[in-house]
Amino acid sequence: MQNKVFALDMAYGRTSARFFGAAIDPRASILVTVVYLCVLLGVPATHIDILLWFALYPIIAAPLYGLRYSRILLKSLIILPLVVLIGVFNPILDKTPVADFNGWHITRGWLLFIGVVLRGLLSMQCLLILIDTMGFVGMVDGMRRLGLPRFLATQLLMVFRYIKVLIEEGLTMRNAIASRSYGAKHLSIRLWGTLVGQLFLRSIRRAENVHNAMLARGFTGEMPFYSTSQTEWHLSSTVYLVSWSAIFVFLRLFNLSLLFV
Amino acid sequence: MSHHYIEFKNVSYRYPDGKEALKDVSFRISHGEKVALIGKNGAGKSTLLLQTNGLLLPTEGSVDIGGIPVTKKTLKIVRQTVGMVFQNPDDQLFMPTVEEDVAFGPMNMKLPLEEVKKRVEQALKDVDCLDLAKRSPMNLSGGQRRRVAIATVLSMNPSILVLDEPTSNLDWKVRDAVAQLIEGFTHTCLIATHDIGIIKRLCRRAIVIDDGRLIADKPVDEVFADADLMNVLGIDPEGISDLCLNGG
Amino acid sequence: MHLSDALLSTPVALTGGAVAAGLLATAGKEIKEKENTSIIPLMGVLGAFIFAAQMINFAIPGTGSSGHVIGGVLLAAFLGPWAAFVTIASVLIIQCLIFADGGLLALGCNLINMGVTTTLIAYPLIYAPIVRRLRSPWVIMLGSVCACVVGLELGAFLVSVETLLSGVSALSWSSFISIMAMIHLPIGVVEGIATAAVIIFVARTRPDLLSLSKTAPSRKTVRRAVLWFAGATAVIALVIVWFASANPDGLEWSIEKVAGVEEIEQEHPTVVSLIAGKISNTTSIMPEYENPLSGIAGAVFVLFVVWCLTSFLIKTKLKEGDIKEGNPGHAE
Repeated sequence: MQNKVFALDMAYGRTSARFFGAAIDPRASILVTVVYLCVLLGVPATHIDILLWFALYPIIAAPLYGLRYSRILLKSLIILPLVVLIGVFNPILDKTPVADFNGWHITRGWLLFIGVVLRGLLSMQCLLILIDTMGFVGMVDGMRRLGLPRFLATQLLMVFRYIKVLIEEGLTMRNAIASRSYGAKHLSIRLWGTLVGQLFLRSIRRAENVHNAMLARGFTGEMPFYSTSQTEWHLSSTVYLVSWSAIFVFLRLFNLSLLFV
Repeated sequence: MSHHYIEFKNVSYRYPDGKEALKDVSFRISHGEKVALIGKNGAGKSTLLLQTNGLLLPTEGSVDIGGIPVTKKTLKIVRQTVGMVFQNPDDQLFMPTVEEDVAFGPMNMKLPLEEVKKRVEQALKDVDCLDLAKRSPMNLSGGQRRRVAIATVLSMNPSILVLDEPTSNLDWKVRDAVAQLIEGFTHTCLIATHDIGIIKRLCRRAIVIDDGRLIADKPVDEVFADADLMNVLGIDPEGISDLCLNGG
Repeated sequence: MHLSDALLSTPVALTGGAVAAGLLATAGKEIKEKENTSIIPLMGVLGAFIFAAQMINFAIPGTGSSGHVIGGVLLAAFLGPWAAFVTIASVLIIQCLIFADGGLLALGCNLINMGVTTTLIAYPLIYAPIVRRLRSPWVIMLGSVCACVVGLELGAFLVSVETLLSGVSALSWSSFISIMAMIHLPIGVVEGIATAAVIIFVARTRPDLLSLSKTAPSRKTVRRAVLWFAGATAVIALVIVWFASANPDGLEWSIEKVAGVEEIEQEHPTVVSLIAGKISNTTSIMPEYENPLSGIAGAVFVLFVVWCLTSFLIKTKLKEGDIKEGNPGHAE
């Protein structure tokens, strides 16, 4: 649980990248990530020698945004257990031999496994880069300017705003009950229902108060969007977007590993 | 300038489930006055406050804000005139950043962006929180949140301020800062509070509510000298320290 | 049940994304037309509530382990299907972006598997008709359990279909889907009981909340929706069965061929087929190498060099340039 709260705290942007002198518009960063993921996930998992080259993006982009790639790499390992769990069926079930190396048989299953893990790590890394630079609020704002409907942006920002508050409220209530529960490890479902039900009622109450506060300040249905620091889309952002996209397509079509064979 | 007043004329309010929360309440608060609203929990203070900007409309009687009757049609202008600061700042700070919260009111008033920027800056300056503009309300301390909540209302340039328990849950130093802030306001103020020190410090007059009825409307000193009133409110006059009574 | 990007191919992910986006847009329109402004803070706060509720685990009797809920049916019972869908969607999006639960491109599919199944299908078609006006605890329990089981089983089914169409796992489809179906049955029952527990509690103290939403389904819409849904399911089932029987090699092999970027046979060369041909020539299948690992070793070596260079060069540059400061996010 603690690391969830930590993740929330870390979801604030810290830096932005500069490219040819002008700041890169967050929208360009988001679009590059989307293109990256689309191309990356189009590479069949067996083609590890193509997949590997896609690591060039996080390796180069991370320092561009003021982040250390080693840190991003480490953080991306968080999804390893999940991806391994899913991919591990492959070596077990698919034993078609595909290559020979000094007497070791490399099966297709193993290739698939490594490929799946690799794809997972890479996609996680580019997501981390986005979050670490723009923060959640910045990312939602970027998505909104890219076309995310306003009501959804409002919803995401409001949930984000109240997560910590509600979690703290819930934990306080849970601890209050736990301290009277004489050592039972988990709540019974009935007790859980009461606790969560109480939390639910409080949430409704809170929402009513927020609504009153909104009305008291003239709210009529449209959430206003106010910002003093809108980045403009300069030529540098277009260049950034186009060049990375071209690189991704190039990496997909031309297998650079062949240079070393 | 003499029209920033609040007038309640025989106001009664009954909730949809039948509960009568206000019974025939009448009073008038004049321009520039700071009046305390005192009563036990459940006496009807919040219900009364919600009538001042039309969040609740009286089932009988009328509320008049500076010459404008509070009706469904006048809500927009009333809510620009009456600024309401709610009890829990977390319920009032619902935007991702402080400056967006403070800008919420002026933006809803459809003011031009330049004007909104000016108001946001001024309001944050008034509560001494200009450096917090780009912060998220999630990570502010209790005192900061309280002051920012006040700023969200100030940015609409109201002439009347209604505050619900402005100093609850604050520690001494912060409470003092908030009190000082309110002291400096020239707005007409209606302050619902349990904080006796604040009452003595900020207000000359107090309105006492019990069980939905207005039972007293007098200068603050007279209210605290009235033994019967103290009894009704459940305040033990002996228990109030000299510090409180002398406006600390 | 959160799908990660690694499990889906791009076409499947993008299709899921398109469907989810369309449904979200519809939800937005419905909410704007039918609900009043109070729904906005309700959706926001209840979205945060779901996070808090998911953190609190309860004991599953007889197992000694703990469980928690997704919350789709629970929210729909109070907010109505569309607002609940948007709320669950926002929860899943935040889980993806901040907590790394589920991949970014897989988001569309996740929204469908967990959001649509519970709020837009299970609630209106199962819970609402069963519970309707009868607020007795047993009826609520029945409706809740049925709705949650159906919702989760449907989600599990969709997950297996999506991974199958993406051709990632070597597991045979029939075993995958039966495992998924079996696992999610008890999970559905548990979620149903937990959901019912909350609804019953609230119904006792504030029964007025149960009709918060103005988009609660009427009997006529429910009946129509059931017919559509049954018809669509029948059609899809028929298609899959026909396809499977026509290809004795196995359903998964044929679909993998279609969804992956394997060799494309063209009769007449066009630009597309030339590029495709290029793809099949350069995409490596290991046996073509004499020394397969040298290619990979070369790639890793280059990556390492680039890593060292960039972290050295660009960091130095950044020290001179300016770094815009965002929120440090520290409490005072």
